[in-house]
Amino acid sequence: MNANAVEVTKLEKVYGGGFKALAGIDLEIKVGEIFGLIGPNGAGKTTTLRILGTLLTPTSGTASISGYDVVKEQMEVRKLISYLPEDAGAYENLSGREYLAFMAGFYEHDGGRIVDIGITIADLGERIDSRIKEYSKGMKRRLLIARALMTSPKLAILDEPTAGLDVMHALFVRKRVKGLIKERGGTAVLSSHNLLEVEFMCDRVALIDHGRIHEIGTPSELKEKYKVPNLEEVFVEVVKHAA
Amino acid sequence: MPHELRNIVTKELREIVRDPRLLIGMIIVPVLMMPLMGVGIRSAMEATQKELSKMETGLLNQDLAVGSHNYSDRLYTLMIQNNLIVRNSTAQDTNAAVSWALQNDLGTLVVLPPMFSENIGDGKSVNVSVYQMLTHFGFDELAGSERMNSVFTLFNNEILHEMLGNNYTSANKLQPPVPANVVSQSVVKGDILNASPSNLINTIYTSVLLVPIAFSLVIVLAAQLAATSVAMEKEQKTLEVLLTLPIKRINILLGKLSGVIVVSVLATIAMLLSFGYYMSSFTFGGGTQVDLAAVGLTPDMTGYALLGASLFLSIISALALAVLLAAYTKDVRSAQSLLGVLFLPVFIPAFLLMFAPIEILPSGIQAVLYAIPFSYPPIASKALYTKDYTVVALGVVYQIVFTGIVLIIAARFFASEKIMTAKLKFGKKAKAAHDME
Repeated sequence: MNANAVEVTKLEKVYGGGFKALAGIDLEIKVGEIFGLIGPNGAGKTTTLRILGTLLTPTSGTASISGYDVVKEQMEVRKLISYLPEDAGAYENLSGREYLAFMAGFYEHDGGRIVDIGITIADLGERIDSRIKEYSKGMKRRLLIARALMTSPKLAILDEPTAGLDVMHALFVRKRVKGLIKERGGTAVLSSHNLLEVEFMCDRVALIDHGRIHEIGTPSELKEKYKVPNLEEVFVEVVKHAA
Repeated sequence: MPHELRNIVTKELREIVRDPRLLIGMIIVPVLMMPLMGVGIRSAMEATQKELSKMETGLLNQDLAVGSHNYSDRLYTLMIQNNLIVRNSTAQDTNAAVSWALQNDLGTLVVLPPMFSENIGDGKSVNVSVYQMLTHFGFDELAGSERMNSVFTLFNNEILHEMLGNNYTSANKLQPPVPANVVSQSVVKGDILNASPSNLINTIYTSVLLVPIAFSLVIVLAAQLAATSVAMEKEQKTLEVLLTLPIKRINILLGKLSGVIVVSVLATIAMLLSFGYYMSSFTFGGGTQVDLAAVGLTPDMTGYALLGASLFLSIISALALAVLLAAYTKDVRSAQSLLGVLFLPVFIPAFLLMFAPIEILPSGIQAVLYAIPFSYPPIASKALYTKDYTVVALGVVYQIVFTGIVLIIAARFFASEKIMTAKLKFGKKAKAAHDME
């Protein structure tokens, strides 16, 4: 069995217009880790997550999940991952339960067991049977997190999982993600602008800017290295040095 | 204008002007559509004029008159003076002459009965049969028939002037018998129908006039449905999630299409049923309308089947194109405005074919129309009467190939990262790339 859930080597991505989003990143994420990608807008976080999610193909370099190449073995990779985009929506005219059943249908034929797990994770009570268009933003995000985690993926790829949520819903999502990943022995890679969140959730983080990773380590290692009290100040120091 | 209102109006205008997709849908397409239609219709008119300028007519002269009261010769001379090219038939009877006219591609056949001159000389009214060969029920054929009528009007006036001298005016209250009474008859696919060409063409024209527009609306609505469906998935990022699931991309595309295809099948059936009912209202005749059933011009099942097939395939090809177009946009608004591009090939053939049969259009325009898959339902609706199914059947085959190619392109598009990254670039190329992050 591969000890690393994710292995990324010299990954580059240049878009059609010539914009270089990734300038050769190397990354290893161990099985069971929650790994955070932090960086400013346009740093390359979403591009990295989309390559891992088989949505984009790298211009050069390789990326693999549990040993499966994200370009050459896309279907195998898709069986292992669960991807949640930033600001994702759901099918507004379905109920929460129907949405989970629809998604579960791609993993098992009756979908019943997975749906039950999803309903438990979402914890929306009776509202699980309401139309999604009647949900608040926080409720929708809880449903989507439930969708992403109900299949017990080997790797959960979460792009800004709590962006735009109020304190209560954000807290719910963070605890749920951390609890479920740790409880089930899965792995997660997430991006976030909220460095307190990253510090709370992630075992290790990578600081990325202009398509390059400038630092990787545990939050405490990084704080120690730069002799600052929190990740926000680590980030400021790293960006300063990179410039 | 109050300051607040001006502020909002300025913002709205800026947003519209700076969104090139909106400009395409709302301004460029309408600006192009009317001139293009104008060119098409003008071409049709010019083609009609050209056809008429070299109009050939057959003449079966059964009159044996000689001498100064040879009215058949007078009529012949008048035809020549009016720039008609007259070819004399040596056929033994009317049916043989009609066959001869068809073989020689003559638009009209005039049959002068025996004793034509003698009866006119005696002041009697003589029935003259004028057969108009109808192949596509177009205005050019109607114009041919009218032109022949005008020659006979001139002939009658001339004869009456001669007979009655200054006592005759066209407004004479004591109307003398018309020397040559034209009995117009239509010839369709070799059959002589007991209906005047003008009434027949008018009836058929009225019955199929709005059909292309009605079909176009169904096609556009289906396309909008498909484009909105894809754009909505992109806007809400539900497509992004779907693309990461363990499911073949082609199944996502087919699943997406099949939903709208079901709706389109229902739309096609509804349209055909209402069309059938609409057509039945033209089989009773009355006034200048011809009872189409009585003259054997009722649409048959082959015609309806081909019409249904071409309409359905038009819808499917529009769906496939709409899905492709929508894949290039990031939200519903952009998709809707970009869809305006599709309106051009849908509506222009519809409008053109409303006014001109494809047969009389210049070959360049014909080629363009045949290349557009949405031209075939209007052509098929006309074929219900002309029974000329070859073009429609070939069109159906072409539509299948066209749709297949578009679907293959769409499938490849969905299977690649282009579904995530593709954007129509109107400004700086790099902008699209920056938008990704």
